Amino acid sequence: MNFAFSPAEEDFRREVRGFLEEYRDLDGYFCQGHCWPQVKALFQAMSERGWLALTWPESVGGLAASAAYEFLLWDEVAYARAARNPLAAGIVARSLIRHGTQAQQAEWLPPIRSGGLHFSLAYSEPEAGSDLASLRTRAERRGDHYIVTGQKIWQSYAQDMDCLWLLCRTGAPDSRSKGLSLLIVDKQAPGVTLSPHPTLDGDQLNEVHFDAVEVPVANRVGPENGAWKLMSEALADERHIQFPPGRVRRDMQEMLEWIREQGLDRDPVVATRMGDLMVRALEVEMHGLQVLDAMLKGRPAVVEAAANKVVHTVVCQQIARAVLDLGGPEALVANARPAQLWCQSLWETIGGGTSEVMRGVVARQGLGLGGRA
Amino acid sequence: MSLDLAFDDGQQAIAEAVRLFCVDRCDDDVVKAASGALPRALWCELAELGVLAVGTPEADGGALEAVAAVESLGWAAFPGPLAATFLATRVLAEPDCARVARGDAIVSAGESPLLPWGADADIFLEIAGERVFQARPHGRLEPVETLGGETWGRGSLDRGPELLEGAAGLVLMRLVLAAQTASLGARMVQDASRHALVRKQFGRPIGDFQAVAHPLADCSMRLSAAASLARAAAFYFDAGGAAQARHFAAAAHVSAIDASLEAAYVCHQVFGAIGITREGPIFHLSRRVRQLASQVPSRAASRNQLLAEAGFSAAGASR
Repeated sequence: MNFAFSPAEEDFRREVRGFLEEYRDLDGYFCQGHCWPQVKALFQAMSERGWLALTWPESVGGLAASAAYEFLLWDEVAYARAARNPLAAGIVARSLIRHGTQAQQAEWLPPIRSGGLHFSLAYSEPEAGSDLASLRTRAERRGDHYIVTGQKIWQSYAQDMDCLWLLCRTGAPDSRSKGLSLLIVDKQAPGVTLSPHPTLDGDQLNEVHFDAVEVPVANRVGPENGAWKLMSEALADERHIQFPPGRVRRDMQEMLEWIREQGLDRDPVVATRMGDLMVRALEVEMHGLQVLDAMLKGRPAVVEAAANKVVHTVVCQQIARAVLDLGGPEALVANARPAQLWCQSLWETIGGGTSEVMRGVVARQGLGLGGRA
Repeated sequence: MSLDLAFDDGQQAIAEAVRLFCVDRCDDDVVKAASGALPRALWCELAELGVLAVGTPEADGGALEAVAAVESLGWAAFPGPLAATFLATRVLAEPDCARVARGDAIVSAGESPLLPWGADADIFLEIAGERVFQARPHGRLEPVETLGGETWGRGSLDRGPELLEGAAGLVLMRLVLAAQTASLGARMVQDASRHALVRKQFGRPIGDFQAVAHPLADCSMRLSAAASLARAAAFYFDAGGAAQARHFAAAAHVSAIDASLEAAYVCHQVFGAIGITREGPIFHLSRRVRQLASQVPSRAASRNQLLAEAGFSAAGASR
């Protein structure tokens, strides 16, 4: 048993920390929408070290590092609050590496690897949230193009991204997960329109309309109607870098500092609550390590990742809530960290799979229960 | 070597041997019948396995081996002062250490007036904050039946010499308590989940209902983190990382108590009416969780240690 990282891995962690010094004022983990040019510059600087392709195979220009390095990288970036891991180098690239044609890999992987090309996921729809397989955005084949018509909603960062990673229906309307395909859609293509939904953390989500948008068949990744398996596989590759514990570690540290600055640490009621939360934050660390451990052993980490998602995001809310509960009016000051964390953490139990869906995964696959009703 | 959260082969073998021993010698009927005095014969059989000697200087094993054994014992709700015994074998000199490891001497570790297993104990350790003293009862201890089905002793102690390894011993005690408590909690969740699969209402297993399934899922998540924290503490304890071991042991202690107490409520609820009967499938486990959660060192002391590490001045003020 070993709870520590290897000396080489710890060296890498130090290298990442040193690299991030320059970006200490970047608040891209929370507010990417306000500082996208700076976040993009960060990604490009990371790409110069090969870090956007850290675990990609060498055959496609990656460093073929173990998942432990990637975990440490994004854990430190999250702790620094600099950015979230970009979807392009993650889900998109991993799908291309597994299922893309040589031509697709040659076209898309180099700009992704260099941090120059960025994607927004276009999955959710007004009537298809947790039940994604019910989505209705339609792609009709016409010769060497698809004609895409429909509506997506709740796309993060789409306002700044270059392309959409579109999940759409190519099969019969009732084909559920068996009739879905993945298309790369240029955001500038005629017929694509975005409208913002400002969110309570000061950022925005987007609504995307597709009005007879022409998409080359060459932009379909994987088989027609075969997207579900691709999505699951790409998600599985990413589990160790989703919801890194560094974010919670930083929340806890900042809120303890804030409490001390307010002189509230002498209040036993405050101390008691913060002490209990320090334990919860360490539980989050353990969940993060459990996901990574499963990945390193070649296990799918489905249950571990679902548990990590629930606990991580709930503890984010508990930390913010405690400071608002205990901090008096000072904690209400807009744009100060306590109020910001309170607003932002409300998002966390929704985005990336709701807590209800994740608890269902743990109940079914971890405990063998039904739990769908 | 990179991260690896699994027991090694030797530790796995210990866990499996102890598990099989418990299946054979400490089934639910034994646990339910074990109310009152400590079952000495069973305790000596456990000692014969070598489990109580894991923490002694002569043994090969360290804290991880202790945790491997204790996880299996916790799962079976094995009776007796396990954590106190590991504390004792860490802090006592010969010949007392060997007597404890052989199962010949029962340890009571705590603070007066209510002393764990006080009516049965041969060796007393007084825990005062983060210090441990050898002690003797001042006169006779009055036997007191407790919620957990253990006979404790009421009285006072005459303090003897301080034991030098006390602080390290308390780290070991906390992580052992945490491993035991978290494992017992996980056992309750497993039993309740099995019940939820076979018990049908409205024409379907009650585990199909999210109102039943999700609280069990939440419990299993928290218990899994608590178990990992205990293992992390043991890892650092053996690796010589004293500060980290101390940190994780305190966190594991709080985490295991909170997760297991929550699991006790959830599992009682899942079992419904049968869960509130004395002979039923859960009370013999939940009452032991409740008992483990109220031992010395206290949950509050562990939390306050974490607060002190973080520089909080109010540490120690609130129980």
